[in-house]
Amino acid sequence: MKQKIYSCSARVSLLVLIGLLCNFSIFAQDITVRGNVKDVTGEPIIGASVLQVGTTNGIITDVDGNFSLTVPGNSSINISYIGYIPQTLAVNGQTSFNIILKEDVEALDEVVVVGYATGSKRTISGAVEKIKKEDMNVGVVTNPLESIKGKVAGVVINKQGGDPASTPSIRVRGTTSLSGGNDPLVVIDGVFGDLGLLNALSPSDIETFTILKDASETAQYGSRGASGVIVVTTTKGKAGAVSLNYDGTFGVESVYKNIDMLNAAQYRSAVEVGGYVNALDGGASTNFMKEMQRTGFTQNHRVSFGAGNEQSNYRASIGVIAQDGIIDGSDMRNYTAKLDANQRMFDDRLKIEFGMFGSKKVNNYVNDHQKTFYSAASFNPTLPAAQNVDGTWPEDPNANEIDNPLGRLTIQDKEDNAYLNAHGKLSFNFTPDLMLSVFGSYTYNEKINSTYIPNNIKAGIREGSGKASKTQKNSDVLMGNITLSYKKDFGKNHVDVLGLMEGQSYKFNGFGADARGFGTNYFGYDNLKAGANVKYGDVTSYANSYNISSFMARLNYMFDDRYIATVNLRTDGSSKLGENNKWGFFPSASAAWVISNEAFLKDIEQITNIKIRAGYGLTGNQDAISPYNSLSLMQPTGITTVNGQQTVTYGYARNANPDLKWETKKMFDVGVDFSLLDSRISGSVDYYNSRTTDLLYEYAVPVPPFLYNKLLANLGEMQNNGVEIALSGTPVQTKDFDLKISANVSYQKNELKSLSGTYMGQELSTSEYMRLGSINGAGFIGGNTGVIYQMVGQPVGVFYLPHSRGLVNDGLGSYTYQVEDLDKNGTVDINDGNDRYVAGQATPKVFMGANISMRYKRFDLQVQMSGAFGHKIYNGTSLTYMNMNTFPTYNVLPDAPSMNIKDNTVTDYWLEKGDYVNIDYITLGYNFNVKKIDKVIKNIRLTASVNNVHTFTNYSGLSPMINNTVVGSDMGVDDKRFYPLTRTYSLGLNITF
Amino acid sequence: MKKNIIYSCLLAAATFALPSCSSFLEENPKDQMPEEEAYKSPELIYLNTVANLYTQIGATGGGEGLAGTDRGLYDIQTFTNDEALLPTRGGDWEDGKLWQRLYLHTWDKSEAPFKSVWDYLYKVIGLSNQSIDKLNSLMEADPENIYLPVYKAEVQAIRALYYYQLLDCFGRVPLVEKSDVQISDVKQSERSEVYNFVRKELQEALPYLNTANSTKEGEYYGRMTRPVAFFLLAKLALNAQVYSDDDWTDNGGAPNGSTDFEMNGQKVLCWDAAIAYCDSISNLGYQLSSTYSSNFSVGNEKSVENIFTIPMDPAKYSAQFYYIIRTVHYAHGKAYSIDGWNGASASKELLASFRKSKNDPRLELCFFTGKVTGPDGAPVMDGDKELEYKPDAVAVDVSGIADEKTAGARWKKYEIDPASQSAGKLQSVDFVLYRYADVLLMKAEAKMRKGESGDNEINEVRGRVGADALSKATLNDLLDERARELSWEGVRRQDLVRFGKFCDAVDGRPATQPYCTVFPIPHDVVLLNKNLSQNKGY
Repeated sequence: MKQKIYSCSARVSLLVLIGLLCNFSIFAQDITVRGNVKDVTGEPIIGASVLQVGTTNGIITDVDGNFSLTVPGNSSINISYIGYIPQTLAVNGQTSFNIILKEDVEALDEVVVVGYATGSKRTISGAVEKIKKEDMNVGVVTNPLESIKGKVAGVVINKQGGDPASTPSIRVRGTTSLSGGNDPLVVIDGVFGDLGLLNALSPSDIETFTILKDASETAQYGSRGASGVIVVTTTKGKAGAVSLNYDGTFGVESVYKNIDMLNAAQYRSAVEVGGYVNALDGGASTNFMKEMQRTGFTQNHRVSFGAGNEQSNYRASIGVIAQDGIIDGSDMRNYTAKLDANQRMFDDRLKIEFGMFGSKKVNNYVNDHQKTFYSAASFNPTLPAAQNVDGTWPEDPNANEIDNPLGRLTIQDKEDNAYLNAHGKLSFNFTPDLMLSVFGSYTYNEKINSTYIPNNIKAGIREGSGKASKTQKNSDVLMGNITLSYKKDFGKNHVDVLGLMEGQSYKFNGFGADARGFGTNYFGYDNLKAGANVKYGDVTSYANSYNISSFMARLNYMFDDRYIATVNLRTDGSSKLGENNKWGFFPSASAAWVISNEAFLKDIEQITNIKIRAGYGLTGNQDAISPYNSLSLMQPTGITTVNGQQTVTYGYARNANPDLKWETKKMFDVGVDFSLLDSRISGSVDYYNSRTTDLLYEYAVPVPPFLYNKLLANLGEMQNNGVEIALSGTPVQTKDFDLKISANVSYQKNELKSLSGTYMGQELSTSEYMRLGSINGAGFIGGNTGVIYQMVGQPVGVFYLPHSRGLVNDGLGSYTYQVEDLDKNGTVDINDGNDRYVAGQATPKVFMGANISMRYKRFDLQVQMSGAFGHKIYNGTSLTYMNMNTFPTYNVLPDAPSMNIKDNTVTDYWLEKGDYVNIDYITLGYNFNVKKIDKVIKNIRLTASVNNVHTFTNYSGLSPMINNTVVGSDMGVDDKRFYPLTRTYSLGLNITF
Repeated sequence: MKKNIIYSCLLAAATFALPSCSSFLEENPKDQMPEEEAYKSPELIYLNTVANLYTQIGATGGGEGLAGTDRGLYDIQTFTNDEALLPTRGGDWEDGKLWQRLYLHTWDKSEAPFKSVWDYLYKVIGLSNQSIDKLNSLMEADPENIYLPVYKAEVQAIRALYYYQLLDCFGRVPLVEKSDVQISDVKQSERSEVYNFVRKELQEALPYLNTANSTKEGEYYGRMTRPVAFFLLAKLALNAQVYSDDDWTDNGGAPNGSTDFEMNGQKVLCWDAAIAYCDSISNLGYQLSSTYSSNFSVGNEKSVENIFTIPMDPAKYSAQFYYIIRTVHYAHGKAYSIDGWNGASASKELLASFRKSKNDPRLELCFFTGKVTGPDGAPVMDGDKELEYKPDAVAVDVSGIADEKTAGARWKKYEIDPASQSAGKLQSVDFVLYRYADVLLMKAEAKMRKGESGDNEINEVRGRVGADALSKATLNDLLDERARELSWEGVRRQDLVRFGKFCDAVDGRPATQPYCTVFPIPHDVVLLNKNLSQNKGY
């Protein structure tokens, strides 16, 4: 696949290259103009574009800001650079120019892609945040999401531990849906995708991220936009420049924090002191956690090249990100390739844009984090690290819930994930104001998971002499739209109207097979025929699909650069919904007042810009619904004997709900954007309030009359509100020294308002206490170990726990947690609804991100921080590892024998505050003075970074940076599954020719 | 709407050039099929109205199945009485003290196994209702068809089997007989109504059911045949005083319902009915197997004693079996290449019952009581010493004692299938639900309750294993005999309730209140359906 992409894209790029080269036309002209481009501080501007107006004749400035261009004596030249106000100068025979470009401090006319519309930031009335390349995170960035982590208020990106294979999670303005659809929509150059597709891009190929947070803008995407939209524009070819760029980092990773359990000597002494007669002593001294580790490394290389003129341009890029995790055998490789070509024809009336990108990502996972790390920590340290002579691994036969961790590392668990996208757009201008464009895109994804559990380890023996599995999942996504837009200024009126028709088609299919009973481990998962046992149900396949059809109208109106209004009207039809509920209507409206352009403020020099915004809109969500959920359909239900023959029977696999409809989110947003003192201080403040109704959820329903105890239905209601503040300031800005500080803080409050309603005339209300997650491990199975819950009247993900009155001596010298009789009924009963209380929430109330960057001459330094406050973490790891009841079969923490707690009741004793501030990275950069080196090189930049510098926290566990935003069984629960914390030291090089 | 569709056609044509665009928002399922497909031929009708219910009798997990996978029906019938324990062993089997609560009768109304048993039993009842509704409509369309009434009777009997379990566990349960029922129509019936319903349904189905032995491989393998229905009717008759008693909290827990039993349109004494049903089974040719173990070993399809079994075969079916895995020590399981969860153990009461029976080999036939050997005949090693179970060290909580991991005699009634898969969960010994020894003991009991001697039947059972004959056996002797013969076969709780002894004190547990003889309606179910009320005492 990888090679295919390469050879394919290489061939295409070659063709494009040849085509473009033919178009190059450089004519000998009358005079040669020379010049120098500087900014207001006198620093040369490198890479500014100098172009003869109306032609393709151009060049870019060198490292000293110098250029030389041959033009007709009566022509004009245009000098431009991103972020600066362009200038056009008549040559008039003049041969020498000294040009000072002014920074476009207002940055208002920057092009912003807001959904289907492309406008300038000036005309936007919703809450839109744009992150440009220079504002993205540096250091080790292996996933596009990491490049905006901590950058935008209200956008929370979280990556746990040092596992190279784990991908970050993201929430835009928190959780607004209970079942799926909480990931934002990703739109890459117009292509709809998910977070997986985003990974098909090399982070360095991304030019900008635009985050649409509030419904007045996300409503453009109707049913896809409910959880926010991340619009990604990638780097394209530029006019007037031939460039070649290399961007790379190399880093070394090491563990900086680990869970330390009793070592072999401490273990033996604890056994002796405690008088444990049944302890197993394997005669060795092993630190299994250490045995599993190695030095990790991470590499990121990307080469891009491109060229172009005003008529056509192209750009190609290939990249590889490689990471070897600190746990033996865990690694990740992501190969990416990308090609874009654009062309204008017929007097620029027709614009053709074409893009392709593809990736192949290979992950080798640590199989089952919880099992592996639980095993590593609690495995008997007196057992040897080597295999037994018969090839099996030493095990403590009594330790049923854990396996030899080194044996577990021989499990092969691989994922191959390939994406290929091709998209194209034709835009035709009937008049300068009226444009028709047709866009089409195709995305193919193939994901293959291969697992082999060897026959000589405990897990493999348990499966019946080894188990191999292979599953393959494909998706084909087609989308296309036709837009007609009209943009016109009438005097002080600016009007922008857009109409859209769109279709999306999603097809999924897959195949899976398991085989057990392997005589040899030689084949791994590569030859399933080597497995002796294949049973009914071991071979499966599926195929399903759904379609969405949409229509939209958008009106953007501005009067006198002061009053802005935007209205979006969108209707979506989805095939997944019930017969009578297929269509949903998602309108939105927003208005803004640019108060700084009013006469009474216009002349105040300190104020650069102040805009007040308000918006309201509806978005829909249907992601929780699987295709065919609304239909009563039959599936194979099992195998039985009919007339002595094995026969498969069919039946209803779920409670069908023909009334399934759109989950709807209504959001109100009010905010202000400001920049003061020539943009030395800028920022924005937003307040939002959203209410999700017809909440899709698998409601608990009574059996009978229902067949199954869950029914997917639209009932409940959820509310979110929050405040977001972003500030940035440049206290110092001189020729040699800059200092810029930016920070963002967001506060959010979530409440599950209701989970009841009427379904087909019947009152439905779900269980009062819906358990999300509990503690696992020896002695916990099936007990009252619930920790994190969903409850009406509370935020999603609250800790609902018994209260411990503190450790108490049970009279035998050991200690228990002494659970309080909260309901004062005379007995302690920790079942749900009895002696338990809501003890805190898992999701932080406040998130913050901060960045300090400074430049001294050619050196620059950046520090990025992130933090979260107001939430709690359940330390299930300590609860388990402090429990002397399981000792000596399971190893414990060094303090455990002296504290002698013989209790594993889940109580609030191990509920801790989760507040933290983390220094994500520190990067030192140096820009070489390349003119002293070589004329060919335009830029060389060298960086040195440290990622995961330090975490400030009072949390006693390994790390407070666990999953606290994604609703699931591990939300807020630190339970023995944490991959050790790693720190990465890296060097980066960026070189442009 | 129409406009929208027209537009979507235009769009689809323009962007995708789909062959047929009017269906753009219509679903055409590929990997699931519409209902019509499932009843297209007579074979498919049988398959999807009757055979599909048999896939539910065994189960793959989640506490489902009539054998009950882990934490299901079997467990609430077994670990709540005086024959078995899942002792807490340090960190193992603490499990939030679930097993202790079951043994101590201190279970809560929201205990998970009650909910999974309830949901499972009613799921199969719901599926049966769908089948019956479908068969009724097919019968209306085709009144001449002679197979449909037979199918319907079989489904009715299966549904009765499931209501019988609900009756036994939860007493007051809703009777739902149709598939299109609203929540508001689901109302509780008294225990006696449920009992009468089960009796009536089984009696109605009887004449349609085939007399074949359902434990033999072939057409009727694993199916609800007439002997199975007879067996259930015998149980109903024997427990008539329990099931017709709508207030089980009075009379010190001893059942005081009616001894009337309706049979062939007449009221007869329930003991006579029980005897009659037992005789009907005998008349079909069932007898005791010559060896006790052959009922529980590989190839037990050939047993002449088994009446109703769950077909098991690792290669053919997905029904799972947990009970050997769950009892044997880790090292013991490893020696047989199966899991060992080192749990379930025989209670002191059961051990005593075995020990007081003269020349009775059944303790050794049913339990591992000391050192054990692996399949190769060599002793099973626990670390560097031989593994040895300590039957008398058993207690509710053995944490911290020297025999923490070895306390308790372990179940060995079922042969460990050397060809088992999935760590022992898939194996080829059919799980025995009902067998003829129980029929003999039922008949003995019914006779004794009428004042006659049950010695013949009791001694037939004892004689098969070579135990000394009893003479003038009392009802208490019979109860003991049932404990020994049918140990851990899921009948003990019902027996104790019938004898009014379920709440008596046992080792480590003081006497409990009579309300415990019926389990609570799962708390969630009561919360979700306002029509339902909780059983007394909870």
